[in-house]
Amino acid sequence: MAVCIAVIAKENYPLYIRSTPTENELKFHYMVHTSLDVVDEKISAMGKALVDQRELYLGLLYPTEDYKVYGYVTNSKVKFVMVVDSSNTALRDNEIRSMFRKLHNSYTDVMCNPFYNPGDRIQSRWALLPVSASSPGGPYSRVRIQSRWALLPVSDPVQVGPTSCVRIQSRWALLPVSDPVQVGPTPVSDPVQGL
Amino acid sequence: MSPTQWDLPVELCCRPMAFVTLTGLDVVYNAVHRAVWDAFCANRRADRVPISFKVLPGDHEYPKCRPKRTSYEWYIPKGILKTGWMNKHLNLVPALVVVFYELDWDEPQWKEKQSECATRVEIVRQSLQGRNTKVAVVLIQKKTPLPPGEDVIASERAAALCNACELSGKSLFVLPHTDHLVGYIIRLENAFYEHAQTYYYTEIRRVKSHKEFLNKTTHQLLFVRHQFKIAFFSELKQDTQNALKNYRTAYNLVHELRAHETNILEIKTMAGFINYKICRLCFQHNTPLDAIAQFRKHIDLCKKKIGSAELSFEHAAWMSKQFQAFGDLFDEAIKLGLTAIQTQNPGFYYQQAAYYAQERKQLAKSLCNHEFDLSDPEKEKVGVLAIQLKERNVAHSIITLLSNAVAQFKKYKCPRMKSHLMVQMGEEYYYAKDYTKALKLLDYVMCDYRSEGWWTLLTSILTTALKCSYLMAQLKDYITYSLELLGRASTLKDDQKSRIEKNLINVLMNESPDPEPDCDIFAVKTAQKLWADRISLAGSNIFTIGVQDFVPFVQCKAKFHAPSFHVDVPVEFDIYLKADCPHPIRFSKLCVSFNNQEYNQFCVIEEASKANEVLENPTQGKMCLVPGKTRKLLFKFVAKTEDVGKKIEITSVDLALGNETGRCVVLNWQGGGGDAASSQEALQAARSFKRRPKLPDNEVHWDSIIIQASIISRVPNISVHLRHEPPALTNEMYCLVVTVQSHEKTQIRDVKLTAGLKPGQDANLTQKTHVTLHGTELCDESYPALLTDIPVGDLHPGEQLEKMLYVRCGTVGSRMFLVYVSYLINITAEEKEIVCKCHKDETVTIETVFPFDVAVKFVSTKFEHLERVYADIPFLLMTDLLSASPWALTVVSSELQLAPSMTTVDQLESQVDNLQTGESASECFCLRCPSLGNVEGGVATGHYIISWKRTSAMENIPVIRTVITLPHVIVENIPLHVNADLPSFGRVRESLPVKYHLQNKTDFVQDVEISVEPSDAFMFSGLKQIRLRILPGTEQEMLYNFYPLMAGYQQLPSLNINLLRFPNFTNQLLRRFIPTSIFVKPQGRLMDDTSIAAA
Repeated sequence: MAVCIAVIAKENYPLYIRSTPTENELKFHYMVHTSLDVVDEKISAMGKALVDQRELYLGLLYPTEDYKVYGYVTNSKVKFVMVVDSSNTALRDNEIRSMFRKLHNSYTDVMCNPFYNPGDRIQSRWALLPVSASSPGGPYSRVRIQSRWALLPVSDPVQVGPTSCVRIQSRWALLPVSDPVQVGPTPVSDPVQGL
Repeated sequence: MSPTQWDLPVELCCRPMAFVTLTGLDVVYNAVHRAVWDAFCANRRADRVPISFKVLPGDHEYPKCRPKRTSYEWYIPKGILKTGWMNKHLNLVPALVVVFYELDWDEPQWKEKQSECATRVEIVRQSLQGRNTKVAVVLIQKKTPLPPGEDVIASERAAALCNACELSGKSLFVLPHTDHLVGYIIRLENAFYEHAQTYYYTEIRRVKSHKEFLNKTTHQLLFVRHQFKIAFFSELKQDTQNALKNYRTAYNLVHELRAHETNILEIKTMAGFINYKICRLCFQHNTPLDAIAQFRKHIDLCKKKIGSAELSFEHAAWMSKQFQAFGDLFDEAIKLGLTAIQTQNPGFYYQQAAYYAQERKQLAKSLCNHEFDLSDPEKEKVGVLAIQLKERNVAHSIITLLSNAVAQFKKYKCPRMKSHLMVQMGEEYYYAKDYTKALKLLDYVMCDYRSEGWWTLLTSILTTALKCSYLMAQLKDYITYSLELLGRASTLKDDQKSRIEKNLINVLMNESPDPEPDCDIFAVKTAQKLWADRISLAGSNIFTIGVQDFVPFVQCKAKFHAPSFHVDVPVEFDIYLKADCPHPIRFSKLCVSFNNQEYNQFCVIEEASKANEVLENPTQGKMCLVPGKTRKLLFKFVAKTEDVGKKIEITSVDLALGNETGRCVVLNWQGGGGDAASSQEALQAARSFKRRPKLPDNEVHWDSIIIQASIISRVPNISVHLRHEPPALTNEMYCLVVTVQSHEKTQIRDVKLTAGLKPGQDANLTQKTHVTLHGTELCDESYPALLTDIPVGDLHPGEQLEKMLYVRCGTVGSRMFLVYVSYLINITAEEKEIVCKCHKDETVTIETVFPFDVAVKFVSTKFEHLERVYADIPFLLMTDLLSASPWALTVVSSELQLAPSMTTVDQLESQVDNLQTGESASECFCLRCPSLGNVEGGVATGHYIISWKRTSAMENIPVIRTVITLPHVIVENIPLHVNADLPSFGRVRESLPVKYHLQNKTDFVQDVEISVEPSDAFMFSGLKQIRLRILPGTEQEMLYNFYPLMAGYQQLPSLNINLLRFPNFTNQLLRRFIPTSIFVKPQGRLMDDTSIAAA
């Protein structure tokens, strides 16, 4: 499957970047970074199109000798970049699309985590997407569960925390009721945060 | 191995053109020949036929044609293509040899000349033995030829000459040396071109004819060779479509060849040649996508054909060249008008070429690190070693390729790709030991990566930059890069960081740092020497580094305790410092600079002055920054009085590391701290909803600190109250009572009051508003709108002071009034006596309204509304005064000032008095207007003057006179005026005498018809119908005796008057003057009784 996956913030700094051949990580970092040129260009060209007709998948960004770089941009301008081995002919456009969709779902799940602050680098021991093809549980099985109430994949039967197997609907859905201070996006009582 | 070994040969890269040689021209000594030759060479633009000409002597030896073999049976070719073949057909073997010969048709010695010419042709033919090269003869003639068919001698001799030279008629040309030389030359050229094409056509046929003798097993190479030759001849024939077709076939055949270690390079070279030709032709045919597809196919096919592992750098070199050549072709096509796009431009090919060049270098480095040893017995081995040895000395062109790619990506809007390539260039310069250039390039792109927050990439670049600066012993750069590599943006491991920190501390102590890892040993030796020199060098050991452009390992934030400070309270602020390096670090000095530099001296911490009194707890540990811990330093100072009302701002914070005896680095934060990464971090922190863990009291969470660096002045401690009764009435002396009370603890001096219209409002308001302190007299235009600096005196603590202001507003509307109180006070702050100037202002908006509304109307004496009055006939003027003021008004008097044209009928007396809100007062005046003739717009009536004041106003407040201009009235003349004399009431069955007076107002004698309509309620005696004459200016009386029959309000018998001269004079008009009804009382019973009694 993909050799490298990157999630890039709206401001173009990397939120998450992981590659399988770890020995030459720097090369992939450069590759992802340079691909932002094309992403930027495509987004600015797309800006003219109607918002609701916008296609999130950007397609092949640019080919290199050994790899193909694909791009995807969410409505909030978070970019996903995926590097695929050129020799891997099994990956056609449709497969890439579905991989991006899975990645997008995983990313949404990360955003749903109330303990994740949007814009922070995603500190996950596990990759957002399986880098090898042989992962039975789909991308969800690899999503790191950051806290007791964090991401709970729908398909995954693992029971974690008090609210297992519940699809997270919002950022605030899964807060423990017993702790009132942490609930809600407006902690007015905390003077430090008010600043 | 020459550096150009991998370059494509010139004969491959040029555009093939038909080759034609010109003989018999003496271009050095013969002017005519020179001119002919120049005409051939000069101005070879695109519209001329593609021929390459060459002048050769008549007896030139052309390359010998080898005898053609009749069978290929036992022939085994040694290679695909002979090295010189392309050059031979481009530059050595002509398609056509032209023999120039000076001969006129009327030449006297014709026979001799003819045979000489034939000999020349023969010599050329001899030299071209076995080739299909055509021969043509051009006769240079002095005379202009006659039109064909007219010159009999010419045609005869031409035929004879052709015969002698064994030429066809088509190969003999005449070139008259006259004015139109260029025209003739172009015609000649076209003829030559046709001959050349025929030649190449026959060549193609000839090569094709070999095919049938070949077999696939032994002659594989020849298949490629022949196909290539056909394609090349097609190109010479300018048949590019067929050329492309044949090249493609040749390309496929090349890949069918059996490849082994010895011929793999040959196959690749040939494939490269053919590929080059195909791509070139595709671009030429404007099918760039075909070219790109062909090139991709080519690379995919050849990528894996590495050949001998020991010579794998050759493969890399070849690959690099392939990409470069394609990049060049692409770029050339763009110059000729092709448009490239961001994702498909020559830059990618140059980049890839550079990549292979780098690979070549690396392979060579790993393969060629041996000494040449000739004792090896195997010759092949020796050859390989020789090649490897040579490879070691190759000058690599990676940087050129990279800079080509940079130029391309710059053109196609790929800033990040450009930065990446520049990093690679920098690294190449680093390998090439050109550290200055490397540093320049790396430094240039660093900020791009920093601003986008790609810390991994930034760290890698910084690491290289640090090596460069170490190797050059560039102190400032070395320190800067170290600072950033230790900082939070660096992704280095802790052991690396502690190594760098150790080095940095060494540098600060004026010692040499340890060399960076993975540096060239020789370079390190030079560097160590340089560092040693630096140590011995005295001076210039203080470096100031502005941190706003990078992310150093010390973070700094400044924060005032409050947004504003009273001048008597010391200004307090904290400086927060935090180090991100692995080990604790000491700083030697911290100083804060302000916009007012006088405060700078109070805010310095230095190692030497340990007992600084402004410090809260001056301890030794203060100067040491523990990694990850936030250190808070408190500063306070007393602001100067002259800064009251101004902002105090921290302009910079300087932190010195190291000391002046060794080396000293001053980190300089602009404003209240913050570096290249902190704005983004602050944004992130603001977004965060995370609850921060509880920390001990003396520590602060770093993210919660917000830089705030400005304060404002002292707050006054007095109260200012305004008392008044809004709204103000127009023109009145409006009273505004200002109460100032001091809440200060000491006496305040020099209290001054500024009051009046707030400046900056409508200019008209300024002219219609007047302020005075004296309410006893009315103020006029000369009074100002704003009274400034009215001295009020001193105020003791708690004392209160009242001041009355009078405002006169000439127009209605709302106005803003300002009351501004300033004073001086002595304060003791931090044992210093200071005089402080404070002020307080208060604004109030006051609405001005009319005190009353005045309505004026004209009515007739019957109180009927009049639109116009009649001359000399009395009418009534009624005034209605409606109070609009919420406060009671006293109307002192009212007065009517009549215009000269008006006269009164009776006395004018004022009858109005006090008015409450909503009350109204009316007056009525009886006036008369003499006849004035026809006045346009009516006649002025006069003015109505009301003198009034507020009932609540004090005695001494003057009365305000409000003048109201009365409306004009239209005066009209009437021809006849009728008025009636009748009692105010009648009584049933009692006679009621009525006298009508008819006045003739005209200068004519008037005929008047009078009739009286009978009425049910009256009987009457008198003239019922009469016609009479009234003389001018006289009056006629009509007496009637009415006898009422019914009681109540009864209609009088109506009087109808008809004027024969004035048909417009109607009864309608008449009724305005005479009463139409009268009240009739019933017959009094009492009266009856008395009359009965009397009877």
